[in-house]
Amino acid sequence: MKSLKNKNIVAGLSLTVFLLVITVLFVFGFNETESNQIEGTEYAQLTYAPEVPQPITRDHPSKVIVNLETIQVTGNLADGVKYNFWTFGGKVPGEFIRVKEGDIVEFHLENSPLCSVPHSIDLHAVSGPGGGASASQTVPGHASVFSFKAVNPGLYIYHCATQPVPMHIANGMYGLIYVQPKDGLSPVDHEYYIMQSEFYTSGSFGEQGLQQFSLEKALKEDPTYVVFNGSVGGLSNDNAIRANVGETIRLFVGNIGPNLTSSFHIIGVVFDKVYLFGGTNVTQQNVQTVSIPAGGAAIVEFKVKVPGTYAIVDHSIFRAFNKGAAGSLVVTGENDKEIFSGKQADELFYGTDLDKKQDINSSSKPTTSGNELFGNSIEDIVAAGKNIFSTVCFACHQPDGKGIPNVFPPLAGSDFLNANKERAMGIVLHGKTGLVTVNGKQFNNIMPPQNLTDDQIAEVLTYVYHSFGNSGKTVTKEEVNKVRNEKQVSLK
Amino acid sequence: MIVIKNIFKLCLAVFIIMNSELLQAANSTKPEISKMIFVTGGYYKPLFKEENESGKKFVKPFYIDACSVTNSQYLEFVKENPAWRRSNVIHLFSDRNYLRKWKSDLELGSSVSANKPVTNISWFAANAYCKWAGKRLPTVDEWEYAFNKKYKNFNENSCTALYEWTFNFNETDFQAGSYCGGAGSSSNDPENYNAFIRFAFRNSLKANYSLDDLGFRCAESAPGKAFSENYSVNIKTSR
Repeated sequence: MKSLKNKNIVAGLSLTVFLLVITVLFVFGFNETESNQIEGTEYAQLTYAPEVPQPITRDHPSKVIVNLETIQVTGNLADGVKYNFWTFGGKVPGEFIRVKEGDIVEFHLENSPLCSVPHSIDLHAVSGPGGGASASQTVPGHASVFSFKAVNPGLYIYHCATQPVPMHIANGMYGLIYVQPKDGLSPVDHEYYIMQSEFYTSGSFGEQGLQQFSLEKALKEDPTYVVFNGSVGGLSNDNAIRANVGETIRLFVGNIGPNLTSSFHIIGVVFDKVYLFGGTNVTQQNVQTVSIPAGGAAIVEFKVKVPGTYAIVDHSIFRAFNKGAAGSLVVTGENDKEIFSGKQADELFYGTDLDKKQDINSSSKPTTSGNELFGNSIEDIVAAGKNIFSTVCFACHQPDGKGIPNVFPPLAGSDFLNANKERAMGIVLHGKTGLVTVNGKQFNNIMPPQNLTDDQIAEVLTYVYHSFGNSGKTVTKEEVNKVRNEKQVSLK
Repeated sequence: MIVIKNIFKLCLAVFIIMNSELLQAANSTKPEISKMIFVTGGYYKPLFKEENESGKKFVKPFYIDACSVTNSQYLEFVKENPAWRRSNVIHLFSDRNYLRKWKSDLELGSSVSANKPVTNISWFAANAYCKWAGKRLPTVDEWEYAFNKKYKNFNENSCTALYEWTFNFNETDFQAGSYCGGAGSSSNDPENYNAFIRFAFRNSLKANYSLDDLGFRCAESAPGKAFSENYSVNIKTSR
């Protein structure tokens, strides 16, 4: 009886679970088939760098038609430097294509009758031989059509794949396609498109006039130019990307090479999120520099917190400084001194206090000491002090002790000096920063601590007090030693 | 239905061509003279390696036109062969760009220079012309072999079209795997980018394409192996 009851319970429970599973499968399964169904046809919105097409908001895949024209144009590679670019859409980099995961993309590749060679396209987002290369092989004055399903979401390079492929790439035939994941990415304030590439020219960097492609340099992987968005300055001034303080930016960054791996970095920015290699997961947070291989991509996101102009560079830094791999991000808005203060002080620095680290006699500082070279007479001490003054002090306080008006205070007839011997020793020992009033004039500068022994300080101060119409005080090494050993010396 | 229609067109075209050849034989006018270069046969290294040990290929001796066929030469051909006039041509054999720069069927017009290479010519048209002239299209190997010998005039802009048809233009296996990195390793001369451009162009063609930069020249097989190197400067004339 008991077991029968148990059996009933088990049976009832099983039925409930079964129905539940069926319901769940039905609901979710049904939803999935609905959202996977291709609905409608639309033309892909294409944009030139640094713009990115608007996020796709529809909740179902569609048939998307892409029309891309290959055309050869002469343009600026740098100021006064011309190049015959081979392009997708008339500019380098080619137009940014945005589709959604699951879309059927009908691709029309149109080769301008003005082109001298056939062209084609290999989209890294395509699953199939050649990425579309054979299917899109197109002679000048013809157009090819092929279709593919955007199976894998992510950010992908596209490039021409007609032989000789390296030359077609080196001449400018590349761009990015973003297959937006079904669930999209978090909303941001700005999305921008950046493409890094190299140019190999017959002339050296900056050589004026029309430049030819240099196969020799390309084979050596020694580019003349490394640029963002197609030219030196392609991402600066009018071409810079912009945002306001507090806004979030998403960068779609590609690197076509054709040879180099990029060390993508923005000076003064930490990437909050990085989708390494342009994949769909945030692979790291809080990243300084992103490695982007030739033929690869990355998505980075960050919030800008402080206004200013930020340099976008390939941190393989000679490329940025000498070959053009630099652009700018201009951020406007309210400053936040807590996040970044700006310069708070500009001070002179004379190096570390070597006194504490090494024997004074081995340094290049003056080594004369009255006790060794001179007798103990006041004349000998003053003579030794003059020697030290002429080495250490005269550059600022001048040989005549009069200083430089408004910059370095005078020692000659100085009320400040004569008023307090211990203070003078303390200043030589520890340096002095900030406002002082000497003979009624204000000075606001820095005197560094002097790397001198007690003997030397006694000698140089005795010299100064016995010269320039000063009070004629004498300073002993014992007095200096006493001041040196005082924990806190009032410098006022 | 379309297939049947095309087969019909094809038959019609073949019939017309055969007829025109018969016609031409009976009604031959004095052809314009064109210079031909005698090319001694021999081994050469094609762009894509042969499967034998040396990677080389043998080319028999042949004659090849010193220049591309000109507009005026081609005009003679269409005068004698109405089927190859622009308004008569069957688009299965020549697409809509066939002779598009000419003013009309039998007029070049002021923008087309009589002595410049004729372009916007399909493979079928080029092939028919060479037959009419008693010659044939050069093979890819013959063309490349002659080009490598750097004969005067062979690649001078003054008398040569940017690209030229060859008899077996799309025979070279230049697909799939060779599109990216693989191409270099299968080549005898991976740094010869001009040759890659020529092969990429040939491989992108279909026989009815009639393109702006694409012309042709004709060739002729040379008898036997009786020729020595001394003959290589010999110039033969034919039409």
